[in-house]
Amino acid sequence: MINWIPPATIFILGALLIPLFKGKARQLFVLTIPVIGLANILAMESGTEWTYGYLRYDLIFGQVDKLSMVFGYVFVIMAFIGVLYSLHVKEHGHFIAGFLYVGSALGVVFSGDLFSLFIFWEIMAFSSVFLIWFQKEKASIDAGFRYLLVHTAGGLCLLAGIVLRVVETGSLEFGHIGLDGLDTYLILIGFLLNAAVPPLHAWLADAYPEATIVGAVFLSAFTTKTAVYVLLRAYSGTEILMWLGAFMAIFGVCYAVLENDIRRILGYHIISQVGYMVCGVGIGTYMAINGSAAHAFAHILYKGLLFMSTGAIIYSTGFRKLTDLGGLYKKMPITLIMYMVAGFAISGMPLFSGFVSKTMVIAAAEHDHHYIIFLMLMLASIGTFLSVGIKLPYFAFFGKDRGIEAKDPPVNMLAGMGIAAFLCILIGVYPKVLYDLLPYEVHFQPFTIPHVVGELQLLMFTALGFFLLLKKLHVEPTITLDIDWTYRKGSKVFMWFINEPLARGSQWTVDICLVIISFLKWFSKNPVLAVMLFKDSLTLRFIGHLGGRTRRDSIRYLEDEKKHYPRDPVKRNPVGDSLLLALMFMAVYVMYYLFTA
Amino acid sequence: MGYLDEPKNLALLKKLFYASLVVLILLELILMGIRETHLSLAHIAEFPAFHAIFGFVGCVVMVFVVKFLGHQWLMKEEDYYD
Repeated sequence: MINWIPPATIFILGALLIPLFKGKARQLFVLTIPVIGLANILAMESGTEWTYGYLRYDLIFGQVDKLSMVFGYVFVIMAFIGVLYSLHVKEHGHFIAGFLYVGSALGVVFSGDLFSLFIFWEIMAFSSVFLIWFQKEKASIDAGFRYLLVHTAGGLCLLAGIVLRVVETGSLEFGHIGLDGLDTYLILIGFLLNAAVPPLHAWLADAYPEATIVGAVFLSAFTTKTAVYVLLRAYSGTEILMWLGAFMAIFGVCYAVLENDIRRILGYHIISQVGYMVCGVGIGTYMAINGSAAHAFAHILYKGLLFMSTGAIIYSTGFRKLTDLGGLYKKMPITLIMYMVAGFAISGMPLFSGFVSKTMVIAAAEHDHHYIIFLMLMLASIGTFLSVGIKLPYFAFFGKDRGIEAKDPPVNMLAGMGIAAFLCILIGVYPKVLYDLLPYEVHFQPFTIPHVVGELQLLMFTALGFFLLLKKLHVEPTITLDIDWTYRKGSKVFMWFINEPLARGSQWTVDICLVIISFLKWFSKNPVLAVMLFKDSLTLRFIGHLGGRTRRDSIRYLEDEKKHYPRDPVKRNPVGDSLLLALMFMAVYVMYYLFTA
Repeated sequence: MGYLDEPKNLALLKKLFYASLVVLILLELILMGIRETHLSLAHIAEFPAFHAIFGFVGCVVMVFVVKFLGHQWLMKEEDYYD
């Protein structure tokens, strides 16, 4: 007897029931769903349940092991925090989209076959895009469409890979895949797109900052981390991922240095942090896989908190760019504290959650003798602290006071932030709570003297660099070019191609057909006379006159005939006309036969 | 008036910050001593004050390189795509 149901069902059914409730009842209902979800997850045990035969295949909705459980726990916790944070939102749509999104992410995590995985994967894309569209500005509508198009392309790539794989192996089972053949590459590309691995990353930094305040909190947690989960399950130990991950960790922080939009800075830091996880997948040792899973867990909480506290700034001030902000520490002290907890956590400050998870990936690289990777990840740590730990709070909360009217956000938003902040500190101070959840036994001790002192040195001397270069680092009111340039500008080139060469080319063919049709219409009125006219004009041209007429008479005669064309075709010579037509068709047929046979 | 509007407080924070940097270097030297180091990639993290040097140099280099690329190429006016 199993006493749990697939977690996706709870959230997806919950989403469908939301419109039945109003006001306080709805607030209670949307908070209850994640609580039921958590109770359900706690009741789950390792094993494979909820299997359905479909055609010749098995669809598995409940494949449970320690790896899927790590993600299951944190997804449900984050869903609760996110719902609490967005409790003041009035529209039903937000919660419906949010619950479908969370539910489908959980569906991916617990599905044991590629087909149901793909279905949930697509529901994720199509439900999350509404969290962007609900912002209802032109920029967010456009960004939402780009988001959807990119994810649809990635989904198709994944589907193509799955179909090839099923044809080749005859099995839908979702387990370790590894790189071997076209199907595995296609599936990997589909996964990498959702993990925002460059050059397939631009959708993230493009779309997340255009989402609603609460939408961005949900978005930051699920899509990329689901991708990390499937990579961990299917591609652990794939060396190329190690390099891609280390590269994207640095890539993200570099862009964050240039950015001005607070949520776009955080978006680039998602890319950077997911880089650590992808790198861990690539290294593939027990320690690295533990590190990736732990970092995904910690990341969802502190990144959610970062988006919640920057969301509070936008909610309270209406501004989203560092160039418009400054001096908020006097007016939003609680938000500042919450933000700094998350900022320290993402930077890996000792006693905050990032320190016990990120350093596990870095140490795994060192243990496995990947020293270049080790240095690259350390460099990314510097960049993380530089922009999220110092630059963003400095220019938003301190810096030049612009006298903006602001106050801390409503109590439900503060409560959501408070829970996330508590968990960030709890994991940082007592990492055992997280380590006990990990797929393999943890043999890693974060709190050693060299480790703590080294990390503090790294961060504090980064801060020194920041303050010495403060002038150089002033924020500028610009946007930053990224890969999305290719399709945002590329689409203009494409539209020009459609409107100019392609449209003109198609007009030519229309014109040519019209000429042919009008000729045929003219010709068919009296084919005999038409042919005779043709013969006469040829004779006139080459011989100079028509038989028995002078040249001038011939020309006049021909013009007269043309003017009176088609005269009266059928009555004059019906048999001859029919015969001529029959002969002509036969001639055409004979020529056709000659050339083709 | 906020706490940071007082120049006195700012000066105090600055002193504390610089003091913490010195303390961190000293802590490493006292707690771990000057270890025998090899000039190889594998032992680079054991070099005295490696993290401090790497943090500072890494930060400065990153800022200069990225800002240079930004100004030359990547940073555009806000209405660039409109």
